[in-house]
Amino acid sequence: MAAPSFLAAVTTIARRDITATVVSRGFLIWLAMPIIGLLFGLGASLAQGGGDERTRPPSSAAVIDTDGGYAPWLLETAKLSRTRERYAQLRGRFTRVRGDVPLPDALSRPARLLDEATLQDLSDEGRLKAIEAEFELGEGDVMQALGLAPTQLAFTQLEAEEDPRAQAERLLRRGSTRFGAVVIADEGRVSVLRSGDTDVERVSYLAGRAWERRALTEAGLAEPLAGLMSARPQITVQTIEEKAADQPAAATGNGGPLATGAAIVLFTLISLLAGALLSNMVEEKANKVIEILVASVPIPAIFAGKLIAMLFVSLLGVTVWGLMFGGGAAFLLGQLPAGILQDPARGWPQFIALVGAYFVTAYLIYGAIYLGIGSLCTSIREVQTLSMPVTILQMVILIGTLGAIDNPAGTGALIASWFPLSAPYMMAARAGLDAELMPHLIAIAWQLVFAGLVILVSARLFRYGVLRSGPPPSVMHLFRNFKFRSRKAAAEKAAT
Amino acid sequence: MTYAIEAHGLAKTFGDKMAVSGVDLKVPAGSIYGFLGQNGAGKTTTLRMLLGILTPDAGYATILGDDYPLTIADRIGYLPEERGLYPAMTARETIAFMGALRGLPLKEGRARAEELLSRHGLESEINAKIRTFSKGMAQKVQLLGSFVHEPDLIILDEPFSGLDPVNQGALEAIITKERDRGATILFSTHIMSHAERLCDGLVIIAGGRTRFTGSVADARSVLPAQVVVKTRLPLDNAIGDLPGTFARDAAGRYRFPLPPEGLDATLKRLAAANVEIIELTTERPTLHDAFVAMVGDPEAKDFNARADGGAR
Repeated sequence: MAAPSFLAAVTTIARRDITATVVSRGFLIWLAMPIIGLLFGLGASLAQGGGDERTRPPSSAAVIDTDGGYAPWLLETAKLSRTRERYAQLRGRFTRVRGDVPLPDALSRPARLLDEATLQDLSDEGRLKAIEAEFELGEGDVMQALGLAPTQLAFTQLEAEEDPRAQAERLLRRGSTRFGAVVIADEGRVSVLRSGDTDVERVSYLAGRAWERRALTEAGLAEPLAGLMSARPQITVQTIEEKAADQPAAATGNGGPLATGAAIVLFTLISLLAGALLSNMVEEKANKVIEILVASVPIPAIFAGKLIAMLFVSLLGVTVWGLMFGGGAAFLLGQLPAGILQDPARGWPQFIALVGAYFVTAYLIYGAIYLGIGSLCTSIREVQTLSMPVTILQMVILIGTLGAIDNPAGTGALIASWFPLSAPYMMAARAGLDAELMPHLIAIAWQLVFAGLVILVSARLFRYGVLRSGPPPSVMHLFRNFKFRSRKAAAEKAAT
Repeated sequence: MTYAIEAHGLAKTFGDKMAVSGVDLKVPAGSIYGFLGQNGAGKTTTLRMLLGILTPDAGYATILGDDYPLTIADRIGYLPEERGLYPAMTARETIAFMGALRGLPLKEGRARAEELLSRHGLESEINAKIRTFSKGMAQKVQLLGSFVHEPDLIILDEPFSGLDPVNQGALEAIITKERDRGATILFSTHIMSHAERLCDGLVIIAGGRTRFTGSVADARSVLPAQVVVKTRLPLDNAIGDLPGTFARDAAGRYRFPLPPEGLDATLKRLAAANVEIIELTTERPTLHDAFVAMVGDPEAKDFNARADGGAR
């Protein structure tokens, strides 16, 4: 048996930390954080939705028709309107999902230009479903699933009583949410009654449109009008794509969300991990195991082991989150209207790989700083006090970086790209914008070199602070006692 | 003679406070050595310097012939004064982990852990988590972890503190067994009886410096033997003729250092004083007496006198 090599020591420390972290309840809670967040969001959304029930457009309205000649027209008009909306949704989804393919004939017309005959044809449910299946547009719409799509308005015909107005008022005052509005057709007049502040714009439009359709038909003008409508010219639309390599996405103003998102995601992950690292170190000192570690293996090995363990744990967490929510996130991104989120300049795989690399460099730099701080503290309170300046600095750097992203060619962006503390965020943002790969390879190399320097300094700090039990030392005290010499050199000096 | 530990002039200052100002230490290989000193004497600081945890400000130390202990981590075992274990780890994994830190493969460490735990009465706790253990059990696990890799040198900082008498006895047996295996053991302690029973040699430090190095017998011979005499009449008349410190305990016995002229001459003098001797014995000083005398703390001496009065 021989003393463990540096690598073996790092592996031993990292393996222990990984096992201890991954099998803990805390890690499961950490993993479940996004789900908890989603549940809270959903709950809040539902609560909000419940509160706004009366302000939403009614999904159901009643029609009271005294002579019986108007209500069928209104029901028919509402049905055609629903078909038009459904068609518009399918057409929009086709553009989002298969934006690179020209619209097929079945969806070529804008929804507003569809004539009644076509709408009648499409109002057969099977016809719309056939189009959906033919072009693989999936089941349902995410906006629909999230409850963000406009509600489909349906009318119910009620038999008229002696006093239709009193009947309508009674219906609306019952406190029932069955009807949001009541349309009364009486003696050649149409009136709409609504409850509270219900928005009945659509109800009024459909009521008027139904009246108009009936009048046109009765005047014999409906068929000539339909003929005119169907004779509209076929309008073709062609999009000329700009090549990403020709012009950076940021220059077009479309790279913003992607770049900003990359920087913010990176910052959030690093902040989460920093807290975990600090807690880990304080716990290690609190349960006194640290002395056994320090007596057995070199301090840089402890340091590296802990950093690697937390990196592994975070990557595991990100992977799990990716598996849980990646599909949903990709689907949601796919649902965004074209132009809002442009594809990264070098494609998604390279963009994700670069952001991953910058995550590692940012983690190593900030993790080493936080670990060094953690070794000086003996309680969470001390940790909060000492880490506050670094957290504030990190925030300032992020804000500066986000400001610089808007102008990638500016001086601010140049400084943020190479200043080591901001470089991971800025370059992660630029990963979606730059067509060139070389600047990123150089930046990653530079950041790794800087991370190495930070690790060296922090390991010294760690060595100084790890067995301290009193209050954290002052900055001046640290400077006075910070010795950059090996034990061997120190021993030789002491011996002489 | 081969020395497992050699240190000369070790010194360490923390801020403005001098913790150790000149400790010399020589521990022969294959021996059990006690490292004695008052609270704050610098024992833990010295042990940490020996192990490379702290860098000395002055002096040097070699461990098993090497001046950089981490390069021979596999040959050293260490039990720190502040016990520390991971509460969520099982006993077996804890011992295996401590072995792995010293270069013992995990698989072998687990096997040895099971064997050690079984041998020391913890076979039913092999897979139990440390958080469920009593203080004594946890301490035993940590001790087993400090020599699971069968090191040549074991350094134990206050190994007996916090243990009940039964576990103290068990620990003594473990230490002796490790010495019999061929290991050198250096341990610090406040409990003189353990040092007296176990140690082949002692190092006593006080005020940050080495005050004594040698065998237990040498340490006890630092003080003269004590004469203990009980008389029917007061001994006050003879006081002027007797040397050294003179004291009377609660049982009415007089106690004073044996004069240089010997016991016969003292006995004759007492007989001449007509004090009617009931009993007379001599006592060799204990290590406790020698320690207190060497450490030289007045309060400790008073405590010693009181303890003598009541217990002996």
